Amino acid sequence: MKFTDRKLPTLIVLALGILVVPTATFAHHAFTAEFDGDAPVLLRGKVTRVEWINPHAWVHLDAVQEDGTTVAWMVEGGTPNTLLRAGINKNSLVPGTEIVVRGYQSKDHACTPSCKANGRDVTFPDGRKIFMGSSGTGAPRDGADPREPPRT
Amino acid sequence: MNTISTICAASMLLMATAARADYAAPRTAAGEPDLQGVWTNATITPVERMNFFPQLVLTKPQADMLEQRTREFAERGSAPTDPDAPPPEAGDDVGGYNSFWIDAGTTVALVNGEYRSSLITSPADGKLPYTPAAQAKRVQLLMSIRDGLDGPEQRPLGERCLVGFGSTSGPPMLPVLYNNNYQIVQAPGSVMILAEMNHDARIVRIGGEHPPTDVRTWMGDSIGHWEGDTLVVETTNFHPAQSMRACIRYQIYMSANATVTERFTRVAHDQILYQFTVDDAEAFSEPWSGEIPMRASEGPIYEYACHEGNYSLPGILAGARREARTTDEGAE
Amino acid sequence: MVRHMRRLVGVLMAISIVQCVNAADGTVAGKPDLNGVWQVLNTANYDIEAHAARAAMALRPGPFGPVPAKAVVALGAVGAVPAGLGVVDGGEIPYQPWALEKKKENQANWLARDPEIRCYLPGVPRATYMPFPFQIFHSEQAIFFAYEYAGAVRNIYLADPGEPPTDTWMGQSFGTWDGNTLVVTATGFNDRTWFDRSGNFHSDKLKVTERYTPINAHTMNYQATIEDAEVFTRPWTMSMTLYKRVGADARLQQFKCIEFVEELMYGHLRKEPLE
Repeated sequence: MKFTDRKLPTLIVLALGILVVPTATFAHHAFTAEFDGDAPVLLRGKVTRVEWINPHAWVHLDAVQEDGTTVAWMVEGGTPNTLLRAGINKNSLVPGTEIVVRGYQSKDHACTPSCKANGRDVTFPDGRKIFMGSSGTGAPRDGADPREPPRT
Repeated sequence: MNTISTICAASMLLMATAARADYAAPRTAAGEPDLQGVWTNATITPVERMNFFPQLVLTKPQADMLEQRTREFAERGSAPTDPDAPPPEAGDDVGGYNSFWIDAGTTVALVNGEYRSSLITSPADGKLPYTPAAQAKRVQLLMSIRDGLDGPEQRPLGERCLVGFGSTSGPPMLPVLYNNNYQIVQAPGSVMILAEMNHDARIVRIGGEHPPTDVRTWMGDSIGHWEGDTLVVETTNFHPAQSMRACIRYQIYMSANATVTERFTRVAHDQILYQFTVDDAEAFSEPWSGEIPMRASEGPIYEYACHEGNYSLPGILAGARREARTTDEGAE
Repeated sequence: MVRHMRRLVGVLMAISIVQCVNAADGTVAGKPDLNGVWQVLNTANYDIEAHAARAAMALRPGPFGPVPAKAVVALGAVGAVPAGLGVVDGGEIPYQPWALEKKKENQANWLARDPEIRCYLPGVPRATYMPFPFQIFHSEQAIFFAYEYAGAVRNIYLADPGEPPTDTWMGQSFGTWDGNTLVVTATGFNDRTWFDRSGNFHSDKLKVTERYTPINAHTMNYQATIEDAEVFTRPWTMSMTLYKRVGADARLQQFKCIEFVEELMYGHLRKEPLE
């Protein structure tokens, strides 16, 4: 986590713990240390495989270049356990699925065996997120909140 | 069924029925309060008191508002992206990943019927009572997380996969952004408390003594005893490298010479009240205490094998080496 | 009234604590009590097949026969391999031909490939016969294994958990009882763990059926049947004895080895790599 002045207001909000933010900056590791803020990427292509591993899942895809050729990328997600708890499994995102990734390339700019980026926003081509947010904590649903989605 | 087991079963049933006035914890066959199961301490209540809610207890409308705010954030995170949106901007915060990976809780901590504005209950202001020296040390350690890129030893423990980030494995066990799940199994002479992240099993011995102070272990050395319905656990001998418990929600410094006392009390079939006190004269001007509901978790614990898939740590170190090379080339 | 009930409860509690503990002596919910700190006394982690003692795990050709490889020569006798009679029933692992070749290649590249060298989780059944103890927590409600090596853990589900949602290092374990034997069916593995330091391996189709059968208060028979149609021609079984530690030895220590391998894995990424 970089404690730059610019980010301090965000940090104060985050430290309150009230806000679940889509862009976590300090979970298992410091994102700003791993990814290059000056190297944004927009990738479109087909999933080749998904590593359902901790501390972070990695979605591999063949990103299509302007000239039609493809480059292998791997995109960092979060802990798969959250998704497993929501009923998602290793067959939920199959190879061949078209996805769009907005993120930043890794600071090492290494591209062997794949280029790496964080998946700040990973969607289907129509803009839908590849998974839906879990409102669950693993705790039993007591039915008090009618907006609770049924557990799958 | 033999006579003894009939007496056992009947007496336990009676115990469970009789103490209804304030719920009697179920007992194991050995007669200990039964704390076993999978539990979660996920909550949107922060460790330290929020400035805009100075009182420990929130009103129901306040709690509703915070939970509503959390739902709105989740909905916003789940909303579709404009398919034609450009790539993110250079120089922006690199961010992390989509909110569907996050599981930080959706509810305000509810303790003894009270909605809580902080997990800390003492001191009265709900703030960590750092000494000035400890506050300075804390800031210095946080800066070293930012700047320490010379080798793996300078990186935070979570990033190295030595223990989970923040104070998830504790003690005290405090909620983080996800994987706030624990399993408790009781055996003769010990209680095993598993933190999902990083598959850290803390084995609490019932009775006995702590090792000499020069023997330091991850999560410290825990000794427990039973007080009525409550498991009381005292932990000392912390590993000095575990003094900084940093995550997005809090960055707590405590010295390796801290003593943490935890109290686990089954207050309902689906809830353990987890209370803790941190006694650490090196870092705090007074002991501080907190209360967290641990609710029964519906799902199981999943494997959190961290080191085996840790692309991040070598990526971060390699990134720092590349940056240095780029800077050198730029200077020439 | 409440006060009287409380007093009665107190008396009954005292009775039940004494009586139920006695009733439970040696059993948990009518099954053998597996609680304790257990460990093998064999050399299966070096090689599950029968082997003679030799100079080192990593060897290279010498002028008069194999000698320790350069990377391990400094270890001398400490790096030597103790002999073992093997734990594979029938003596030989029924590899498919291609898999036997891969096993040999693994063995030749032991330093680069053995997951133990990188402190990776040991998998099953290797966790059982690592040269470290493991503790079984056995109650009426749960059976849980904590291994000293790498802090590995397994929860043994006592109700069918269904299909494993994803592949993992330690797999998903489902326990049932066959008389006095705890039978654990473990599936949902990835293909990255080995069976020993000698390159014996499996695929992600691995299924392990373990049988834990108490012999007496201090020993237990352990069997692990390996099924993996991608790698082997038929199922095969390992058998060995588990010993229960007693007294001061009956306590798990921490062996969180990740920090011990950081120089090996990340030393080249230091700002100033060591000579």
